[in-house]
Amino acid sequence: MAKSVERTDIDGLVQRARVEAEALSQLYELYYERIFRFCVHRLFSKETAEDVTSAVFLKVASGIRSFGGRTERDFRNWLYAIAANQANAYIRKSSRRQRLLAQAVMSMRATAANSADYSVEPDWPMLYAAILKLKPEHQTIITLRFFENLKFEQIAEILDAREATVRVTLHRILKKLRKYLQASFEGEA
Amino acid sequence: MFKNEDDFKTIVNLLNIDDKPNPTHRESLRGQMLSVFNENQERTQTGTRPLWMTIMKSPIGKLAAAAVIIIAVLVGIHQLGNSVDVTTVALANVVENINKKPWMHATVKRYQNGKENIHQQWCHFSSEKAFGKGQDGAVWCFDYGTGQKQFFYQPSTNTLEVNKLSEGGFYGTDSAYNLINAAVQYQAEENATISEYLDKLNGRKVKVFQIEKTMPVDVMSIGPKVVVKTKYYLLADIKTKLMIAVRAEYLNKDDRVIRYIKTEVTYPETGPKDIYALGVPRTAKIIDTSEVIAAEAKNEPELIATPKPTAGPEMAPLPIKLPRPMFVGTPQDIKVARLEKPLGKPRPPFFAPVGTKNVAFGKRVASTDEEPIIGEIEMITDGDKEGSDGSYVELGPFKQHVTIDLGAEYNIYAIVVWHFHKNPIVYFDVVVQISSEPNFVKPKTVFNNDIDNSLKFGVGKNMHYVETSEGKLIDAKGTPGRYVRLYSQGSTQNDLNHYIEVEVYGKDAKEEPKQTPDEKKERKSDDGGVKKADPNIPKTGMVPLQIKLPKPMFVGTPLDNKVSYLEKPLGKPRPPFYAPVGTKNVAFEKPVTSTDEEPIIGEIELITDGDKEGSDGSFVELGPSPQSITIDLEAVHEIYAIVVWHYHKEAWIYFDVAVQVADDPDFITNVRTLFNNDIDNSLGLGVGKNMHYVETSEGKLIDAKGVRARYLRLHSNGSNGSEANHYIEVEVYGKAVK
Repeated sequence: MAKSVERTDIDGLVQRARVEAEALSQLYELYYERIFRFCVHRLFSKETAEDVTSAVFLKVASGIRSFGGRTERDFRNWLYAIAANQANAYIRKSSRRQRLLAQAVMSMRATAANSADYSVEPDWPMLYAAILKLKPEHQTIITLRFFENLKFEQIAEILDAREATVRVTLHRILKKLRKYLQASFEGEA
Repeated sequence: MFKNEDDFKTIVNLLNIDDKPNPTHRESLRGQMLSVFNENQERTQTGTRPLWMTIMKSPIGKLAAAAVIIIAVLVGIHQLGNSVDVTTVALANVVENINKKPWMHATVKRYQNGKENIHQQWCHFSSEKAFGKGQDGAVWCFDYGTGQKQFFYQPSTNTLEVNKLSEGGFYGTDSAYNLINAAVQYQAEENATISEYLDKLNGRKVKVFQIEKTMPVDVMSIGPKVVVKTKYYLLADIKTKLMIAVRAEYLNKDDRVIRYIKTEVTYPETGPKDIYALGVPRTAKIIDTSEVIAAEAKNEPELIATPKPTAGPEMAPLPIKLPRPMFVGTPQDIKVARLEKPLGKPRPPFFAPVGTKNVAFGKRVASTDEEPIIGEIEMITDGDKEGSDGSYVELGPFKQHVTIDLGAEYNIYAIVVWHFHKNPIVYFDVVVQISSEPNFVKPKTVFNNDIDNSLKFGVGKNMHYVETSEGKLIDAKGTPGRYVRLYSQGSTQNDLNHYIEVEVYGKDAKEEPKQTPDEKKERKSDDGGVKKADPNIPKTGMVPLQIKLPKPMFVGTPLDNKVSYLEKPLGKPRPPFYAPVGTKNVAFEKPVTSTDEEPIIGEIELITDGDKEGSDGSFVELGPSPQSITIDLEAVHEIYAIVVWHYHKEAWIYFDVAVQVADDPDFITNVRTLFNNDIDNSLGLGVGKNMHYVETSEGKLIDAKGVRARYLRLHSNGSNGSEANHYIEVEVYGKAVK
C-alpha cells in the first residue's frame, strides 16, 4: 500500500512540475544521480558526464512545460530519452570519441602496470573501450540494460522500439562485444 | 569470457566504476535548471500544451496526426487575402465557418523510410466524430460526442478494440472544436517564419502559405529520430477560398526529411455513418475496455456470440482434462504488445472428428537444449499438466524448440500447450509447426506470434497470450503430420523456456475418411512441384542450386510501372538454376562494406546474415543517390550465380543496378561487370544492356558463368518507390578455387 501511495505522489509531482518549480526540483532530486551515473557509464569521464547531465536537465527545464506525460513512468522514459540522445550526440563527434577511447586506454595501461594479477575478466576501461566500438544506439541499450538495470519493456519505451526487437538486438550486441573483448585480450597477450 | 546475458551482468556488477556525483555540481545545476524554468514560465502567457506532443506520443494519435494539419489549415485558409497570421484569427468566426461544412474528407499520403502509407479521414463536426481508414483496412473512430469512446479495428486479427478516449485526447482537450484553438495557440507560441506566394496545382491557381518552425530540441520525435524542424505548405484555391492540399515535412538535424505527408481535402455532403460503413465486419471480435456506457447505443458494435460448433454425428468435443489452476485472478499490468484479452470465462469446447484423441501421450520428445536446467524432456508428454515443481521442464534461454515424434502420420486437429501456468506470464515467439518428416524442411505453421520475425518464420499474425491452466489450444485444422515442433524465446518473467505438457489431438491418417476434392486438389499441386519431371536437366555434374526463398511479402501484380526496358514478370516460379556439384552460398556472413557508412536503417552486416525476409529488421537502408556495397569473399572463388534481394515488401524497381567482380577491394584489377541495367550510364560503368526488373521474394538471379573473383560489388541508385537504396540479402553461389 505504501508503495502505491508513493507512486501516486510522484505522478502528482510530474503533473505539477509543468508549472511548479518546487515539484520540478523534487523530480530533479529523485533523478539527478541516476542520470549522472547513466552519463558516466556512457561517457567514461566524470567531467564529461557532468557537462552532459547539465545539458539534460536544462533541456528538461525548458521543455517541461510542454511535456505531455502524466506519470512517473512517462517522465522517466522522457528523461532517459533525452539523456541517451545527448550522450549519443556527444559521442558522434569522432574527435570526442577518440578522446574518450584514449582516456579508457590510458586507464587500462595504468591498471595493467599496477596490477600483479592477470584477470580473465575485463575491467571497466577495457569494457568501456569495447562498448565504444558499438553504434551509439547499441551503447545506449547496453547501458540501460546492464548499468541502469532497466527491463526490456522500459528500454523499448525509452527508445520507441518493440520489446522483442530490443531483446534480439541485445543478443547481437553481446555477440559483438564478446568478439571485441576477445580481440582485446588476445592483443594484450 | 561471458557466454550470455547473465554472465555479462555478473561482470558488470563486479566492475569498479567511480560514478559518485559531485555535490557542488548537483547544487549548481539545480540552480541553473530552476532559473531556466522560471524564465520560461515568465515568457509563457498560457498553459496550453502544444497539441502535437499529445498526438505524436499517442500510438493512435500518430495515425491521425495529419488531421492536426488539416484542422490547422482550415484555420489558415480563412486568412486568404490577408497576410497569414493565425494568431489573430477570431476563433468564433473560424468555428462558425467550419460548422457550415457538413463533412471534411482528407486523403493523406505519408512517406517515411521510402514507404508510402495512404489513409483517409472524415470529420463530422456536428456530431464531433472523426473516422479514419488505412490502406491495410485498419479503421478507427474517435467519438468525442455522446459516445466518448475510441474504436480501433485491426484486420490482421479481425479485432475491434474499444477504449475510453485517451486522456488529453487526440485533440489535446475535450472536444473537436478545441483542436482549432490549440493549433492556433501552438502556432502562436513557437517562432515560425511564414511566407506566401501564388502557384498552380493541377491547373488551378492556388495561394501557398509556407510555415516553417524550429522545434524545441529533444521534444518531438518520430520513432527514434528527433525532429528539428517542421515545414507546412498550405494550398488554398483562390476561387473557392477553400483549402485543397497540405504538405508537411519533418526534418532532422541534417535537414533530411524523416517523414512527409501530402493531403488532399474535399468537403462532401455525406460521410461514413459508422465504422461498419468503412468495412469493419460485423463478425469482428470485440475487446471493450472502455467501461463507458454511451448515451446512445444505436451505433454500438454488438458483442459476438460464441460460435456454435459445427457438430454433426461425426464431430465431438475434445476430452481435454485440465489441471488445477495455480494462479487465481486476473493478471494485472502485463504490458506486452498484441496481447489477447482473457476470455473471462471457460474456453468453449473444441469439436473434432469422433475418435480424435491425444496421440502425443508417452511419445518421444527431442529438444534443442539437450540438458534442461530443471526436469526432463519426457515430462512434456507424460500426461502430468500440473503447474507445480516436478511437473515441468526448464530449457535454456533464448530460442529453443521441442519436437514430438508421434510415431506415425496423423491428421492433427488441435494442439494444446502448457508452458508454465503457476504465474500469469506470457511466452514470446511461440511458433508451432507440423511436419511429415523430421527435418522440418516444409513444415506447416499452425501458430505464430513472433511479431517481429526474430525466429525467421515470417511475421506472426497470432497474438500473445497469458498462460493459464487451460493451456493454449491451437486449431490445427486436420493438418497431416508425424512431427510437431514448438518454439519459444523466453517470457515476461525471464529468458528461459518452460513446458509442462503438450497434447496433440489427432486421428490416424489411415482411419480417416476420403479427402474432399479441394483437399485432393491442394495435394496434387504440392506433389506436382516435386515430382514433375524437369525437361531441362543438364548433363551429369550439375545440380540445381538450393536457394531458400523468403515468404512473399507483396501479393498481386504491380501496376503502373512506367519504367522503360522493364522485364516482363515470368508469371510462374523461376526455373531451377544449375551449377556444379558442391556449389554453395559463399557470401554467408562474409564482411560487407558500403559507400554509406551510417545506414539509415539496419546494419550492413544484414546483407550476408542469411535473413531474406522483407520485414522490418531484415534490411538495410542506405542513403539516396548512387550507392554501392562490396562483399569480400575472403578468397578467390568460381562464382556461378549471384542472387540479390533489394527490398521485396513492395513491387519496386531499382535503378542503375550493376554487379561487378574484381580481384582487389578497390575494383581496379580485372574488373568484370556481370549485370548492368544502367541504361543512361549515369554510374559511368558503361551503358547497361540488362533490363529493369520488379523486386520479388525470389530475388534477382544473375548468371555469373563461373567467373573467378574474390570481391563483389553491387551498385544501385534508388528505385521508383524511394530515393534510398535497400538490401535485404545477397547470396553468392560459388566454389573455392584451390
